[in-house]
Amino acid sequence: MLLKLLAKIIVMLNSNTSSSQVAAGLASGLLFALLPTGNLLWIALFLAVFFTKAHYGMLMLASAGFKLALPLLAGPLDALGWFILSLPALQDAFTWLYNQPIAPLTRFNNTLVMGGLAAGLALWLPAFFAFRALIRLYRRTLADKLANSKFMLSIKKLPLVKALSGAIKSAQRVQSALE
Amino acid sequence: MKKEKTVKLNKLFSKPIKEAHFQKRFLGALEIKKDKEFLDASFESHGGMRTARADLDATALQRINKLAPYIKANRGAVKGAPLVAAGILAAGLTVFSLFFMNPLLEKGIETGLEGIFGARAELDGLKFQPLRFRLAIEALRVADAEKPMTNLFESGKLEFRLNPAALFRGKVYIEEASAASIALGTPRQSSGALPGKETPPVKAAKEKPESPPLIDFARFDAKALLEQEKSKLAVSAAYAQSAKAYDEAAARWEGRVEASTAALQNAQQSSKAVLSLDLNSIRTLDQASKAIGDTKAAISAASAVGNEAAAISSGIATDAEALSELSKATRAAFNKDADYLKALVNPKSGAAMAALEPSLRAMLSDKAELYLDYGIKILDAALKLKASGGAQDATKDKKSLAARGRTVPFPSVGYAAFRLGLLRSDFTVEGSSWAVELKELSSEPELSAGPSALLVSMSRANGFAVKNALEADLRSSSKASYTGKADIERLPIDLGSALADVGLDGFSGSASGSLSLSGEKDGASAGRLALTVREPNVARPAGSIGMAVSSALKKTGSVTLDAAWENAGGNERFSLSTNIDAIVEEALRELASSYAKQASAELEKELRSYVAEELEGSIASKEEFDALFAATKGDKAASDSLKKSLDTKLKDLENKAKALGTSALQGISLPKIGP
Repeated sequence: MLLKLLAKIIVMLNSNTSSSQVAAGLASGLLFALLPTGNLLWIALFLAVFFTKAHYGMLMLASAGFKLALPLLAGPLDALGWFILSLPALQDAFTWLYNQPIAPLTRFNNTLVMGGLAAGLALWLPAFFAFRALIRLYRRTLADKLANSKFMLSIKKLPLVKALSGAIKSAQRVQSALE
Repeated sequence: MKKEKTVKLNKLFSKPIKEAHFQKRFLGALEIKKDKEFLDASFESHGGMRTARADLDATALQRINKLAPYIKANRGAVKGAPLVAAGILAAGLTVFSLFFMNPLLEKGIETGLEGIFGARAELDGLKFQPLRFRLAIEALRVADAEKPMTNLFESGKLEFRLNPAALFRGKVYIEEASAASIALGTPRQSSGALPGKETPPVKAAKEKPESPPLIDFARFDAKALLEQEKSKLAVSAAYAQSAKAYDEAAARWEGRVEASTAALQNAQQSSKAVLSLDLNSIRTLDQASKAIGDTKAAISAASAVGNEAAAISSGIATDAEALSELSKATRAAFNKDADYLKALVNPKSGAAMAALEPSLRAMLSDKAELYLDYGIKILDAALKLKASGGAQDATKDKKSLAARGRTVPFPSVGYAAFRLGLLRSDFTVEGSSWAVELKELSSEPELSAGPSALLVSMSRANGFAVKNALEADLRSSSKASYTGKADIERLPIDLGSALADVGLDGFSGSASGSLSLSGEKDGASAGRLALTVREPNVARPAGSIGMAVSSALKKTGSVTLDAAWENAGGNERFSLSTNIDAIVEEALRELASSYAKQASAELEKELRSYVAEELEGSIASKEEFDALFAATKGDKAASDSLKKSLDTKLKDLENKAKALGTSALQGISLPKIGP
């Protein structure tokens, strides 16, 4: 299962899958990792992502990966959320929002939700451009060299890598069948 | 020979493509450099249009076709097929509502109730119907935090109708709720104390108040009554105080008086020689001068002794005055005790009421405290609910912060976080029909239309009815208070053995009237009970007065009672007025007249005997003090007498010296003094 997931990622990185879509998936994964679950805002954003072409696989993977670091970020996110929710200039707006239908169900007045949303949105564009640049750099400079390097050729002979290669081929077949 | 497979070019590439479009949408969609170069090389350009080369073999065509899905997929940023997501969401919601929603809600409500009442809350069979905005609970039990083995309240099936508009704002507004039954104080199988929370100490039962006895004239024993009342007599304490004062005064002066007497004796001894001196034996001026000096020294010593005796006498006189006042107080205490004892055998003095009041006060105070305590508990729960609508403490423990964050409250203009509009319950228990209505319970009372109110009424087929209205207005943040009023009709009462001490064991009747209660969160509370007890009856009257009162109660037919109870800052005040005293007085008038005079005389005699035999002997130092006073007076007189004798002697000696001096000057010619 893990091998197949790894294989799919390698296939995706070495295919023509849009680097923008992969980067959007990664950036969105970061956003979903920072935003606590169990509120309407998370559900709404999750649904919205399904209308985009962001790469879902990378979104899930990035969300799970970044979520591991969340306990370390809880304090700063709480402080950020408290700061935003306490801004005098925004009190009227938040009060109005709080009294609208549906809006309270987003739990926007929770410090972790507000802090996570603010941090996630602020980091989305930088993360998107950074991930896209990295993928493009990999495809342009590293992908071919890595595939044909002596190191990779010797690695490919290892039993584990053979299994991985098989997994990649089966992943490619599945992808072709889907396409 | 193997036949070459025929491959058709994907439709995406079948028509000529504009050069710019080809560059942007086809080549731009590919990110693998060699695929891009291959596609570019596979299409030739004619007049600004790109078409697939005619000489492409099957392999090339296959490779081009494999690129088609990427070119399609990489176009644009949005796609129009979110049905999968919607499907997943619908499936997720279905699974959640089927397996997780009700248990989660059940747990959430239990936690909320436990926070409000500080004890375990248990819900059975919660069922939420989100599309109908209905919530049903099979049973609810909330334990009493102060008595963990007892439920504060327990209800049968509960049904709630929720307000949809509030629900869409994340608020719980129960417009109407109904309960199949409600019961208070039911026993529990397991402890309702929350883990880690200490059970508050059980309030110690109040000691039964002391009350003066009602005398049974038929078996009157003055000595026994005196023995029984001895601890309450003031004369005993007065005598004890006098004895102590005499002891202290005697001890204070004893040493000083002894020293003064000894000094007097010394002075008298040393003066003897001077006083017995024969004037004729003095022949020279030197002898006269020496005798005068000795006499003056003796006078000085006698004066010192006299001054000390005077000072002691004055001090003892002052103490004697104070002791005299104590003696007066002792006599007054005696008179007061005599009056008190006589009052016990004289029902006209209000002794019957004095005997009844402590028992009635204890019984009514207990009841009032019970109901006021329920009022405080309901008020406390409502205030905790109100507090839950406020901000969470920013300094809350870090663990819960990390897990859930903090909720920042913003003012609600329409809906409170929780509001119970109306809870209604009608049920019958053991032949009693109950109707309960709870109105406007809210986490933000300021948004409620009216104060929180609890209306409870109960009636029985025999005409007994109670209507109780409890109201708590929490809309003003400055003052949290409640008021309650109960109308009572034909309430059967049975005081059991509460009045047994006064000979009225098993007092019962049918009460009608009203009870009003009010209280504040700080503990200040007040209650007033106005009752008329009809058909009064004493099941087991005892003693002559008990029998007489029992007959009088039957004859009178009703007892009125007006009790007021107030607790302000821990100071309790209780007042009671009834016609019981008048009934007792009337009943005992004839009975008492034949016994009271003789009983009074016997009591006074016993009291005098007690004082003479047991108390007066306790002042042992009185005689000693009096002797000291007399001795110091004697010392003063003796020292004065001695001084007078010495003064006379001194005068004689001075005359003698004068005479000696005159005779010595005769025959001596004085030298002439002149130029």
